[in-house]
Amino acid sequence: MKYDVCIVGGGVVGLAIAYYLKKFDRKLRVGVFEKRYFGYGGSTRNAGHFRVHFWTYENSRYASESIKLLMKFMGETGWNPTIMRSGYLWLISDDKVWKAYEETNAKIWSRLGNPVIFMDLDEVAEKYPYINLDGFIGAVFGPQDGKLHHDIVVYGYLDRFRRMDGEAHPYTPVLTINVKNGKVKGIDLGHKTVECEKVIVAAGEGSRILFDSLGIEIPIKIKRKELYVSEPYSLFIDPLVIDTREDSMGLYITQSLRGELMGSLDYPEAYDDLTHETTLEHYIMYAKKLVRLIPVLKYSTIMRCWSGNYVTTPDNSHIMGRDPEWPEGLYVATGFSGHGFMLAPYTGYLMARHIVYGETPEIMEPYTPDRFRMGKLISESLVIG
Amino acid sequence: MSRNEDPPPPHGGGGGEKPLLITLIEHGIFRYGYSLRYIRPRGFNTAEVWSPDRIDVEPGFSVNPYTTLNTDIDKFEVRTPDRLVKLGSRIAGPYVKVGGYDRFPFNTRFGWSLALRYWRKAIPWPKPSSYVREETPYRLERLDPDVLVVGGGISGLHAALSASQLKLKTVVLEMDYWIGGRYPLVNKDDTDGSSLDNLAKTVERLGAKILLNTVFQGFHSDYPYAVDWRRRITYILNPKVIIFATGHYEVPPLIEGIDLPKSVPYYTYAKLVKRFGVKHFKRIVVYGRDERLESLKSMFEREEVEAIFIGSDVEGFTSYPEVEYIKLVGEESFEYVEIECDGKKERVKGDLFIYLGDRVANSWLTLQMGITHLFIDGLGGYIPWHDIEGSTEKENIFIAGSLGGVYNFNYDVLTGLVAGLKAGEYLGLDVGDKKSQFIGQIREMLDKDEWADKLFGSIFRRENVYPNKDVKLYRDKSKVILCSCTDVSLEDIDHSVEKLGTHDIELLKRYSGVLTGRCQGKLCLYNLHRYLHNNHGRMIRSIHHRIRPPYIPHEIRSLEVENSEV
Repeated sequence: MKYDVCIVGGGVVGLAIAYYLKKFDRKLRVGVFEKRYFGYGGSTRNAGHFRVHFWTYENSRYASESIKLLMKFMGETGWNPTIMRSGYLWLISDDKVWKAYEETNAKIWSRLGNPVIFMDLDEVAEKYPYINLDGFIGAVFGPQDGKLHHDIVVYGYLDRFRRMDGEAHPYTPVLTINVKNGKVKGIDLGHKTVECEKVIVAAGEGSRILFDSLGIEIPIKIKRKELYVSEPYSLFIDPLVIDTREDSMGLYITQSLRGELMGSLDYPEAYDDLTHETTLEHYIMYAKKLVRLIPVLKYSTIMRCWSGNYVTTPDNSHIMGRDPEWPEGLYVATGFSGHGFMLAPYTGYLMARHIVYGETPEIMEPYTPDRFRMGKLISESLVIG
Repeated sequence: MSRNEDPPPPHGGGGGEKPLLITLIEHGIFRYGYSLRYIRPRGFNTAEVWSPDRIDVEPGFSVNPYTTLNTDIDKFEVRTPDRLVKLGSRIAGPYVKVGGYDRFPFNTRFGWSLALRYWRKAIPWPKPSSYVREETPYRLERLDPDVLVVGGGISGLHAALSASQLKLKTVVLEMDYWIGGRYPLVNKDDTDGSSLDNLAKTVERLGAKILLNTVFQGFHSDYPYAVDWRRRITYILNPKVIIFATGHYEVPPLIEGIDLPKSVPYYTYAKLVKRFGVKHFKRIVVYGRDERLESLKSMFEREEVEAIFIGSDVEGFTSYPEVEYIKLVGEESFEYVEIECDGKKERVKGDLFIYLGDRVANSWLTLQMGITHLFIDGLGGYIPWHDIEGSTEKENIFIAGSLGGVYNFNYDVLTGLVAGLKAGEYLGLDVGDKKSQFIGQIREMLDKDEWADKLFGSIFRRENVYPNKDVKLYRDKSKVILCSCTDVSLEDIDHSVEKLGTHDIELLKRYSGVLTGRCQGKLCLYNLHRYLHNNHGRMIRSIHHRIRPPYIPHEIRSLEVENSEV
């Protein structure tokens, strides 16, 4: 087996990169290697939402570019990811937080053409009568945000990539990357080695293990999120509702297009645990916080508990591209801190351009892995959903 | 029956009022397995046939397993759906399922915008209730028994008997409101329950607790938990030994139109008759062939029901032993079956369709634990690997009972007794030579029964038993509903396989929606694996997707408790 580019990780990021690589250069031999099935990690373990509102200019801009690509997804691939622009609703209880939203809106979101709507309590009560508004002062609504069926995006990229003669290998774990004289030579699958010039690590949860084997330190941490899915109900919670009160621990609740209510909160912080387990303790906490926010849901029934992982970085922003000090031909696209799904299309696009045409657009520069070494961190703190 | 708790109201039958169970059966909200708590609404495709708007429990209760039981049932009424709901369901209905929107015209900009417009109206589910009743809140309790027996059937009770005889602190969890499980339902001689009653009394006298209406909901990484939905207690469990005696349930056969209302599994009917004495249906069509027919025959004879047997030959009744094609037909619910035998077409009318479904071992709790399971066709799908003594890969987990497919109550009793003794052994007690005596008897029994010996032998030897080629009784794959929670038909499975280019269950599940409905695959996983095996040449080696808690959906308020620091 011989490839020009090997991609480690068959999640949405890896497959988006693979798809765009093939799109820009049909002759490029691209192989995708996935340890389990396609979309095993965060790509299928997420609530299926996207947003363009981030605390920093860089991320907001990056996201809005990415959403533009996502909107074109159906036309490009013929797969319908069932996109619905239903919005995000942040419920605010604190004047300081309210001011911060106002400032960010003026400074960043409006400038990018994505202004949010500020709602007082009466408006919220009228529009979302099921929310218990005790203790809130108002809400911020982001109408540009929405939901979609995430699995379709993964399978759409996979399907198109394969149709362009791309080779994708499920259940093929990559053990290590072979490096010789400061150059990437290939990847090691255990039973055989694959030759290639370039390797892109987009392995999400498993990325650090791979970099550790090369002796390269990459600052990512795994943070578990447990999510609870109810039986289907008719659509009544339209946006993704986020409770920003401190004691609510970042509770969010939303309804999928199939009618299932899905929600989660930040507790406990189980770091570096790849087992995808759930805990009763967390479950009970969720039930309490949820019923406090939306009392109607007391009688809703939970059908399934599952957990997925946020691959977080110190500045809650992703890492892409390469560090000049790394072996030649080694690239990375990981550490999306819970936003991998929404940022994947544009990441695929940029990475493919970077590799095929050698471009490093200005929008990609802040995200390179050497920023941690140089101390140029992006300060993102809006990490929900 | 003093030991059993009152069944949910109204359970009568004799009087003029129709029992709730029959109303539910007539509207297609029948149950799988045999418990009323498994009520499920039908899927999206048939939204115009059944929609919760038509069945509404006033004021504002949704039809879900818990509220239906705990509601003032007199207010249960049938309503006609809104015209717009009907229209919306017609337009978007068949495509609401996940993979559906990937087909023309919904994968075009125009088609999708049209679908979105009707989406809200098309989703047939009810809203969560906003009506707050006066009620007892749930409370949390902690249970730290030596031995936890899951399942209060014949084998679970015997496990509890032998464990409590060793003076171990024993708790039995039974999710139904009666003890004995299927024992009274399949026992032809029809016990009045006195032998079970005495057994339960003995077990309780020895100090064991039998908790009825309590569902073992599964394993979280910190604690397993169980919910008692009638007494409103959520148990946090911390047992030293767990004995699984969870038995089996029925899955529907792959027949066109099997998802119509008024088509029920055997256990549903048996429970209706044996527990409630209901004489409601007069002309019944029965499909299937196994030893349960005898019990059915005696029920019919006693109740003077006219019955037609398809696929079997039963003395004294009309029968069609050999059929090539079966299809259930009806406007809103089952009215007649179309069959073909010897090249002749026939219509058989009836007011209820009963199928003897495949008996599938209830391994949903052991599957959560990540221990090895084997696929044993004939014994009910995925079976946790265990030896003749019931020991599994985990030293404190034991299996009791005959799982699915083999009916021998002596086997259930003996394996139950052995499991209890094994629990004692694990906890360091001297159990004497009773254990080897019982095991000797089990060996003897298996030697006599060739069929059981073969199946159990394969478990003990860690060999999968693959299904034979299916007898195909259907012709139109789009009419055979495989997953009735999300309305995935066999054609949808074929479409997904083709579209994804793989047989990987993980991908099929996410794309088509199969295994993701209310029952989380309990009804369809076995059929799906069989179908992929027989029609796509896919070998069944291990279960692919992960089983998660809870075992059955439960209300969120059962965890919204005040004393959460237990």
